[in-house]
Amino acid sequence: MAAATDDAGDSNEMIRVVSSDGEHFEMPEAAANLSLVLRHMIEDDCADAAGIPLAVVAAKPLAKIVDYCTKHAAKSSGLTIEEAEELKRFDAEFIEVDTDMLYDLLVAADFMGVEGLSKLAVQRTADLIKGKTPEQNRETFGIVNDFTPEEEEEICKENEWAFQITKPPSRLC
Amino acid sequence: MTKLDGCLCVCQYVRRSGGPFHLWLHGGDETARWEKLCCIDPTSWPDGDWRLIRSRSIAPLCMYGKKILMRTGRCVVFAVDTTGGRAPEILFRPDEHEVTAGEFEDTCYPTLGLYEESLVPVGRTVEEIVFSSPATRAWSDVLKWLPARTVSELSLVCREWRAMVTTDRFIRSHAVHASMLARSPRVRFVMDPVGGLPADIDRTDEVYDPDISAMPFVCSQPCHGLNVGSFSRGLDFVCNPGMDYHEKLPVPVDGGGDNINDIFYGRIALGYDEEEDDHVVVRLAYTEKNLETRSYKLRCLMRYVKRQEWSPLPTPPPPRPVASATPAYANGKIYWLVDRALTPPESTTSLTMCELVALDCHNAVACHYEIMQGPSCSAHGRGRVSVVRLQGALCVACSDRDANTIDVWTMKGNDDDDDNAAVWSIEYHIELAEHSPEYTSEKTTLMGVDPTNGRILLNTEQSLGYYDPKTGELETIYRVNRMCQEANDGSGALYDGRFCAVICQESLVAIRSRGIKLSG
Repeated sequence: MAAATDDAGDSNEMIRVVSSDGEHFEMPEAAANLSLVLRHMIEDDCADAAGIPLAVVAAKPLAKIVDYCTKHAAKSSGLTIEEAEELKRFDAEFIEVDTDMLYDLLVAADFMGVEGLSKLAVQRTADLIKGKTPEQNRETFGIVNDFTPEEEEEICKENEWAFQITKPPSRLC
Repeated sequence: MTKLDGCLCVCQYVRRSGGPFHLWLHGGDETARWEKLCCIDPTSWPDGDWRLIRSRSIAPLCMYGKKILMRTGRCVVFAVDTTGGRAPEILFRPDEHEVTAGEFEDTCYPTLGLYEESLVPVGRTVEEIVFSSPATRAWSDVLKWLPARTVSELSLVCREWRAMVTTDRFIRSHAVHASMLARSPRVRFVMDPVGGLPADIDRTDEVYDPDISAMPFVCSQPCHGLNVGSFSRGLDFVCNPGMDYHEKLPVPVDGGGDNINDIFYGRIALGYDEEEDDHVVVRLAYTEKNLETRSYKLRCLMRYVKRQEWSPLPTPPPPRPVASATPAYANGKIYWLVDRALTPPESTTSLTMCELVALDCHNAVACHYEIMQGPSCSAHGRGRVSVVRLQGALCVACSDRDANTIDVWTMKGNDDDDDNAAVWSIEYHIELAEHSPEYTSEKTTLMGVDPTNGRILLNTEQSLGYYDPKTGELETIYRVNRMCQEANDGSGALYDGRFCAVICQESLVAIRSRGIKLSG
């Protein structure tokens, strides 16, 4: 790395990342530091002009993640109440995405180790899952049911047994 | 039958008589015929060789030119010539090597085989395969926060999800995360087993009363998704009440040393050994106890839940006499109260202090105990002392019978490098005078705190209620309908019934592998 940038702490440096489909993105070092994986790469001096390749993150979710990190890095410490509120609103709007994108974000945030985004995506996904039947969940997330009807029945039976409310006949006089 | 020189081979011989071996090779697709390879006749071998080779099973391993390598059920390897006749060449006998020293039992199973040098991996564990996919890891991050029942239903979505939620790794992580969410505690009743295993019913199930027992029985606070309990008749069990899993913990035939008439609440404790990744159960019993001479003998048994048996190794008991009070698990340790009536009077430096003895559950079998000072609770009027875990912290509850109050002390700043320097402070002060006689300091125990509103769940074994420490108000959520009833042991005796209520954690932890039905 160039000697001029050696006095760390100066986070004006831009970090380049490359999506799995070959698109390049840039974000401030402070934003990249929100990702555990990127931070380790930067610490190990692996961030060069060619950019850090992210093998499992496609351009679409990566653009969102860069957005997220840039926003959150700019407002990381010493938040006023208004700023915290604003960040909350940003998060709420940010995660209003279709299930394909949500799924991509979930996997990418987990892979890149972006804790805040991971939590956000997990919470949103959990909200979508809750109160739905397995069939509805398959529809929501585009999952194919790969069980045979017999297997399905067997699992149903097992679950039923596990959660039956035991109602023994009253033995009291 | 075996493979020899790339062909299917049949080895035929009469085991008893030690008669000749006939080896046949199948020509495969080309000739589709069995051809006799050779006949080996051991009768011409030297006696010593035959004695060594003689076995219930002799089979060829491989063939080099005219030599055939054979193995026996006793792990002897020898070579013979296909032309037959010549004495066998013993290549390996287990008694001649240090590693295999001694004789192997004769078996008809193939105990010895050839292997090829190879870098092909044997394979990863199912868990590793399941979690190697980033998608699965991401789904696991979502599902681990959901209630056990929901997760169980979701196992129907697809094979990938089912494979994930049934791994130990997921179940462990779920037990930790699902109970981290601030939910009101879920209370269930453990039903007195008549013969079989106990069952559970929900408090919300208004149709059936919980079973009322003549004899008191206790169930621990949850620990990583499981509870332990014991009935006075001597039945100990471990359970996941949220999923109706129960398993008996029978004591070894020579007994646990219990005195059936003496109800000892310190009998059973449950902790979690992070190193073993398993629950550990500790069972104590006094085999001798003399209050006058203050002499006693404490017997200790330990078991890991998954191993399904008590440790055969002698387990040293806690280095102090344990009081008849339910133990608690907090900060990776099991805490028991020390029985002041059995400690030598001179060791009681300060009469106002209570004492605790703790077992470090990290590598529990090492039996690393420590003794620590409790709060100075006996300064008040005469009352009961108990240990309990509230919101993850170890607490000591001291009741004051005269004032009808309970003080709850919590321990702060007991760092490992600063042993015995625990600082105790009062966390809650519970006033029960207003709620007497339904709740009195003598019979009320603390079950837990509702993290959503800070109220404390109180249990008298006949009533359950939430106490608000800020306002002093108490809301009873359940009470026994019929106080005086006939015992279910057929004696016709009447008694005031009690129930056994437990808080259950959201957990998929099953005591046995899922899908095995338990009776009862």
